Amino acid sequence: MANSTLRWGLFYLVTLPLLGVSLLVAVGIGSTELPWETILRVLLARLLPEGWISTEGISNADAVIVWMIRLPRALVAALVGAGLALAGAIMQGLFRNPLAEPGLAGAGAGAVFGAVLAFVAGWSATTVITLPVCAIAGSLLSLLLVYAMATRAGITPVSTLLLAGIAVSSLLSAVSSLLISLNIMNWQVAQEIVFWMMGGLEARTWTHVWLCAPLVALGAVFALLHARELDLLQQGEDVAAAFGVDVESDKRMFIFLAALLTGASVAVAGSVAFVGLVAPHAVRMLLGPSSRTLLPASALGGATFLVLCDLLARVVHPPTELRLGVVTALVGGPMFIWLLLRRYREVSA
Amino acid sequence: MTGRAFTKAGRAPFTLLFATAVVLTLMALLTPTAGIVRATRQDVDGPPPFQRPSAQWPRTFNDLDGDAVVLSRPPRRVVSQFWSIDEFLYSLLPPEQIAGVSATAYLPGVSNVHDAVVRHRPVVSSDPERVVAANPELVLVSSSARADMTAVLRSTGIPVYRLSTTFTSLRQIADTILHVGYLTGADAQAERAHQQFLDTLEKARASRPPHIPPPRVLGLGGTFSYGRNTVFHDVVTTVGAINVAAEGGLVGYSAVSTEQILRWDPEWILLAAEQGKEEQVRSRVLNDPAIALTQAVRQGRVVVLDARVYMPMSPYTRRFLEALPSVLYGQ
Repeated sequence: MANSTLRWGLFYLVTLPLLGVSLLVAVGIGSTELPWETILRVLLARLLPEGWISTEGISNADAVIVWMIRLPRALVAALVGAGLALAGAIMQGLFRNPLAEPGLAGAGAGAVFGAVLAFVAGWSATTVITLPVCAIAGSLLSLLLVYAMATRAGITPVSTLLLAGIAVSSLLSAVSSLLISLNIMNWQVAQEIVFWMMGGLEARTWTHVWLCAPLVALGAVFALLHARELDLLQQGEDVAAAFGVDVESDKRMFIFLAALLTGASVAVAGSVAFVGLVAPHAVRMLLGPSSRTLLPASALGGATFLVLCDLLARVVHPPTELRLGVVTALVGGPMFIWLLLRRYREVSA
Repeated sequence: MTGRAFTKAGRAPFTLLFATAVVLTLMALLTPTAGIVRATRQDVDGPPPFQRPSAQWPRTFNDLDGDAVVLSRPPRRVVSQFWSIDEFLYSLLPPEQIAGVSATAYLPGVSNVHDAVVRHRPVVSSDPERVVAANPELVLVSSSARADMTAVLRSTGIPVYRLSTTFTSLRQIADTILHVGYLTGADAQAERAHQQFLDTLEKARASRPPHIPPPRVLGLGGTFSYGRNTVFHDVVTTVGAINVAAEGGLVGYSAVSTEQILRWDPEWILLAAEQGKEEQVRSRVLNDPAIALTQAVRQGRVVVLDARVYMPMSPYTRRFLEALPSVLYGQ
């Protein structure tokens, strides 16, 4: 017990400052040179009461770059990382499988479908929120389909849920591909779609922050409030029922939360792989499987991971940015293999 | 949302999946049509002819979204976020006034303004941070620019103006010369460039010698061709030729099969390639067994034009209007 508390304490002692430093570095590094003093003064002038920090000598362009371009981007990275990691932790608990990831319930493919539809119909050029709203709508539509297909006589077996999720994901991915192929002659739209599908956080504004933050916060709060139920469901549905858990109702809720978190994340960042798989897996190996510990730690780990990946995407090949989904896959993939090998060695030992 | 509410649907999951597949596929097939309908309404009729504003400043312009952009004086630093807008700007403004261009401007194989951008190094405008740091007084974006990109710039107080860049006729290009010119305060240069464009059009119209029947021309861009309501069609008919794709019923920029090409049997096939890749592009066509049976291939009339000349969708379209008669009529 003392050992796990110590681990828990060490984890937060390391990860919280790491997230803070990562966010600061993400705001500090960009495609134009800005002195650190200017960056700190802009941030503090905005966060503290007016007049406390002098903004003399700071140009409007510098203030705008820090506050309206870099900071929202860093915050969206943290929110998306947290959202995907939480969704992954929920799915891994629900399916009792550490290889489960947020897209299993079809929410990711649904969000991509909604976004692709917005692109080809020209809606993405109208307002900032149209694209993310279409993506969220797509993820919820997908969830409805998956749930409708997997439920019989009021019962939703997890295995059927998984199969329905795979089927709906495949269907929505095929329709998205059909939409792209029918519009490939409009190369600029096709290019936008392909880039979006690879994940990215360029041009993220405070609108994206305010769109994503409440949904991620809602998902996180509800998940944490029902952490006990998730733990019990991991022991099996019979065991959970024996402990008074309304199994079907809670499964619905967790699936909905995972879809909401995934939809909100994909809506503002496109397809970003491996965060939802690697973060909870790594945290589970460090801190154990208890959801009360796992969920907030996964959120923190996922947020830190994605902020760092976005930073890497921006600095590796300047001035071109690598696509965020490519970076998370290139970093997350080997990390995941390493985690699996380590787990295998522990089990073998 | 209770389990019971889904019981009936849950009894036939495969039926539900099949029905969903049908509905979504229909949506996918119809959505491009909706896009085309929108494009057709906007671009076949085209945006209304540009109305010259008064010579005084401030000037108010309504962009493609209907948003009013008020410019108190001619903008001294302008950013373009689209490749054809780059070329409009460089044909009207001194290079020092152009603070940002699309990434395409830096591609030597396709950009007509590459030499100028390499000399003056404007920022690449896909990065909002660089655009803001360049302190522009006006940013011009295309009809398909994403709203979040324009929103970032607007939120910083920079005037952002959405221009129609989906050209389907030469008149629209000519109009846009005036539009961009009056937006940027280059009124006189715009009128001169506009007149030059019209003069080139007139010369192109008179280019076909009367004794030569209208040549039958096919333009190919990969496996796509240019039907009615395209700039290519407008250029080809202006020089007195026949666009076989339009004659065959094609509308807009659409995929064509080799079977269609064989049926249309063009006398000329026009292609585009970057410098150094001409033979690669030509051989792809010549090696197609169906296309090899067309008159164009049998008579050695497969012409590969420089990609910078072949339909630049900007004032540089004049180069295509000047090049095509020399190809078709040996002028």
